[in-house]
Amino acid sequence: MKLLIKNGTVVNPAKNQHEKLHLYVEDGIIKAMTKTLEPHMEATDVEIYDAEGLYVSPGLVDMHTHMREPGQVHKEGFASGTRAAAAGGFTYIATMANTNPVIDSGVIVRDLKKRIEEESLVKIGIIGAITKGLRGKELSDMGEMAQEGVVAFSDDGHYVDSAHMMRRAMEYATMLNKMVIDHAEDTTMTCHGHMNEGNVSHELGIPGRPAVAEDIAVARDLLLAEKTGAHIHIAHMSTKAAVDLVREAKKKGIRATCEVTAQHITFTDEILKNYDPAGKMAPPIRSEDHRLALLEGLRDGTVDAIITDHAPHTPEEKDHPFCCTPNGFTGLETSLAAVVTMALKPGYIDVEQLVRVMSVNPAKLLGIEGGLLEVGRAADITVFDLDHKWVVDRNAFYTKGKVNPFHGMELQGKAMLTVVDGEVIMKDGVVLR
Amino acid sequence: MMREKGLLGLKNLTKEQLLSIFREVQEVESQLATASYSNTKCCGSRVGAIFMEKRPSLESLLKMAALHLGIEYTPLEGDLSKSFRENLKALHAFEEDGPQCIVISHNQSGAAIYGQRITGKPLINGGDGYAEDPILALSDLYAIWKEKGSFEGLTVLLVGDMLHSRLGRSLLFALQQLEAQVRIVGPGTLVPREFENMGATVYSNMGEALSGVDVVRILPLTLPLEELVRKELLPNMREYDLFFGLNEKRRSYLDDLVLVIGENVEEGLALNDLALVIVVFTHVLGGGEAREAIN
Repeated sequence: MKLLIKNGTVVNPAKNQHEKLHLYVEDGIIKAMTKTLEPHMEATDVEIYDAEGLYVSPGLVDMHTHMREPGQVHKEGFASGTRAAAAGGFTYIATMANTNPVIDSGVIVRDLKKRIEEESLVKIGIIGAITKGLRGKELSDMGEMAQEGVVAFSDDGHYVDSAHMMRRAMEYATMLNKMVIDHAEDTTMTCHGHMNEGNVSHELGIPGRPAVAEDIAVARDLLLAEKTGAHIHIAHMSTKAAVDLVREAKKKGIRATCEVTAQHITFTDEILKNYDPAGKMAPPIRSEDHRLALLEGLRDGTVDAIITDHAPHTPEEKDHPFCCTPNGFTGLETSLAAVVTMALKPGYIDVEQLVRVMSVNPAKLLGIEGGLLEVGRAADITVFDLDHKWVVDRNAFYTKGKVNPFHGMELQGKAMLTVVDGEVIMKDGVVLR
Repeated sequence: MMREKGLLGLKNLTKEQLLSIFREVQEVESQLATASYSNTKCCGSRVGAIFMEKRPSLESLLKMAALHLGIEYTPLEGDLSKSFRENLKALHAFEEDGPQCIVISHNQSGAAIYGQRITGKPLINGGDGYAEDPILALSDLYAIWKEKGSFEGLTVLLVGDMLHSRLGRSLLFALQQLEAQVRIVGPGTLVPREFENMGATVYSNMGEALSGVDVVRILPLTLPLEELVRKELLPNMREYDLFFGLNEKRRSYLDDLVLVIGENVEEGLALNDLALVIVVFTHVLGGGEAREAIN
């Protein structure tokens, strides 16, 4: 299988490259990155994609999704979820452990790897649970899961309430050379809440989840990371103070990193004023001051990665009064465009930083091959258009999760080509398998 | 004004619309003794009601108003084991020849907007969660308007659990539109400072809050005491009464002209609220102004 992506502008921050280059791929491997075309690159048996006016980057990496396998395939699955990933320009995604059963043992990871092999269109990393059943009481079989290849540990969806348990988890994960991904919200302050606590929640009469619940949790776990020397990664960070805390922690040399979602930099809690649960998630979409702080964190490099937190639910599950609906919505097919529209076009980041936070950094954090275009490496490539304007139509999504607050919004920026191991799996918005 | 979506809350009603409702209620109230109601413009209209939360006094009023206007009225007690959508289905709310207007009461905030959104029919909110209680609030506001004649320059004090009060929210929204000054007093756990951002002045001292007010509205404690204690919102009722009760001493400081509403713990709609429900039905069902609808 041969592929030529010609005339595109290659953005490859890991090698400080930003130039017009042709990429030639054979048997899944990048064989050449050249300024001039050689005759064999345009032979009749070569698939050619003209990327004139487009950007060519290492394949996008989403380190935080919910593929809902095992046990919740009515919401999503590796087949539908990875098609959505391909449509959004992602060549690698990591899937969280809050499944049924919870991914908390080596046996479950082994089974999942088989399912992934059979069903997936893009590469998938598995994140194992920190505690058995996500109950926060006993450590999961972290060592066995590490041997099976999990990329990190997280009880995402649940805070590890006990500081003692979190300390032990960090110590154990460090031994295994894995990071702990922290859903940081103090449950005692959020257990009755359904949206950001603030002016809008008080106006609507919806119990809130205060920002300070996240700040307290982040502060505790940064201190624990300092004590244990563990790598703590703050998941879907959503508050101004949390950004400040991580910024300061990094300055102190604590092994702290963090991620934000595309939706937290796009929306504010004002979108919930009509009680529409499409935008309901945890941690909640917050107020404008928090949104702007996240963008500042992106600008100054405090924020390491942008994630989707792709969390599909069926339309039926979201079809209730606001407080009776589950948290979360999909993001794989809107994330790149949201980041271009809300962060790149307003000047918070440039295209290099976009590729860093959506490919280079998450690949590095997960310890996977990726985030780099280099001759001799696997050809995982994304081609995207920064100027393409489109209106989000949830009915055109590949994901099973059709409820999405981006529906009907005009966004700018779109993945045009997704290549995994040299195979074109999405072209001009159409997933090919 | 309510023809399309019904009466979901008071947030979006203008001062003129609110005052117009009060004037109509007054006229209907005066007609109630003598008018005949067998041939109104609403006659034959279909109204369905679903009570996911019990509101006995409202249920009686709706029934009486429907009788007066010749409305075909179908109430249904909500089945809590089923979803709200399924309950609305049981009411035939999605059918074209089902009810033309739906009344709901529900323990979830936003249930009224949700019900209107999925049925596409005008809906009258009989109270949803902590969000809004427009009918009960209109009843209070009408009482104030009748007593005081105008809202401009009035200082209205809301006392108690504002955090969980749909009545408090509806009153706050409407009183702002009507250009009254709104104060709220209660423990910090039940009256968050954020209500200042919604235009109210928040007090934590009952004596200071009472000073110079024209109207006092004692908000009902929406949650049972044990829940307030379990959620760490109050230590006990004694302290609540001690700090925020309208006791004899505090009452003695009030001017005789101060109107106090809600002292009777039994929440309820008095019979003269019938006029209010008639006005709301008439508007929602497209019968024009109520005084014209009633022959």
